[in-house]
Amino acid sequence: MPQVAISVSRPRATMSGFLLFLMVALPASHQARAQTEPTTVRALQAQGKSAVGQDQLESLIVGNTLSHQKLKSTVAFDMWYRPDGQRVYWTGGPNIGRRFEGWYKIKDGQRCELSGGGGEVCFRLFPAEEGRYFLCDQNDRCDWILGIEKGNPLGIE
Amino acid sequence: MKKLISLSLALLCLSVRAGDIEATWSQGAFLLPKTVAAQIGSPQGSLVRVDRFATKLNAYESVERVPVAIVMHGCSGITAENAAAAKLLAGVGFAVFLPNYYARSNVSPICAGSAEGVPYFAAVTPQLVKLRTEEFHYALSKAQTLPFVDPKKVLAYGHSMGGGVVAALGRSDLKAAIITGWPCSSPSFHQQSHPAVPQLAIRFKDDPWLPAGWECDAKPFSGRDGTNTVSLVLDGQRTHEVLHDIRAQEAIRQFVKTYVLKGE
Repeated sequence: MPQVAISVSRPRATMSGFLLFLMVALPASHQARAQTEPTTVRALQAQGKSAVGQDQLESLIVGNTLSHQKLKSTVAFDMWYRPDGQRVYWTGGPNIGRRFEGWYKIKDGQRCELSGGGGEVCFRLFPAEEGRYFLCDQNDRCDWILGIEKGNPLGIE
Repeated sequence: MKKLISLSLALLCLSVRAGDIEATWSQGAFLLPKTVAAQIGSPQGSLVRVDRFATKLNAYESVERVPVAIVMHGCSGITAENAAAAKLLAGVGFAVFLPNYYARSNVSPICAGSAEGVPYFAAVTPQLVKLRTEEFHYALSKAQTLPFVDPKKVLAYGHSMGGGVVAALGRSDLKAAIITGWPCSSPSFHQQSHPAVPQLAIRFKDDPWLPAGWECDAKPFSGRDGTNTVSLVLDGQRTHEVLHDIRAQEAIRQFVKTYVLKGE
């Protein structure tokens, strides 16, 4: 059961009202909204789902923009997988924040790319609902969901 | 001749530095309340760069001025968590501006993490925090000159290292401060907002980037007055970001309503 711990002492009038809100309204509001949960390769396979194969991976990724949303998080990236084998994204949205560019390859049924740490990191894609895909890492954790748009409609530079 | 060269180099350094701070503003981002965005013609609901709308931002005058929020990003730069903060605040009426540290020339990454979200280095130093506080002061001074902004209704907001920047501002002229994903204490930092400024802090108990058990509360010797300090520690997930959690969203809405939007 998720909890919220609140630290405050000697509240004055306005703070008392704010605290009352925190203690009464927050736990209830948290329960009101269900979120898509991260999953695992094993759980997806148990549902009869298989990883996307090499040919389909190439067709889904090369030249297209993939919207990455981490499940149960605000973390999100729109990444343009250019036809020349380079992947471009910005930290804060298209052309906002800090720009990253690095190589990617589709190999052995996986999307492999330059990781933030400088090494290679590979992922498999599993079908999710409504044309989206789970992105599953090398530890078989599927914490991300992908949407795919043809080309570079967001104008990522 | 040597003196002339030294003077030239010093002037060049000053000019680069001045250009750097301006770049953190102009290559930063903003998001406006729907009514203001409609007048200016800027996108509603997504961040846009300041330099792409600079003329329109400076030209739009409004009888009813809106409060302003300066959102300070963490060590990775402006992220979707910051965009979520901007969206939430613009949704309740703030003009939101996000200065961009990585617009400075020749800066190295302050931190990085793995694809699993595990930190592998973070180099937050007092010198860096000083640079980042300069970004806040500069961005606020620019935002306060905009003809549709209420220069007296100011919210400082920071996530992660940006929370550390807000904690280090030392300004008493803010209506309120919000710090997320930052513990306010570490071997290098023991700072919180100015005691006169109401402060809301939110973190997850299990945060891969933060030491366990530390929070921005009003414990003895924290420098904070317990009457205007609230610290929420959320449970139920291992995460550094907070704004996907509706408890954090609602607490922020209620806090700014109490201390900024209703404030005199």
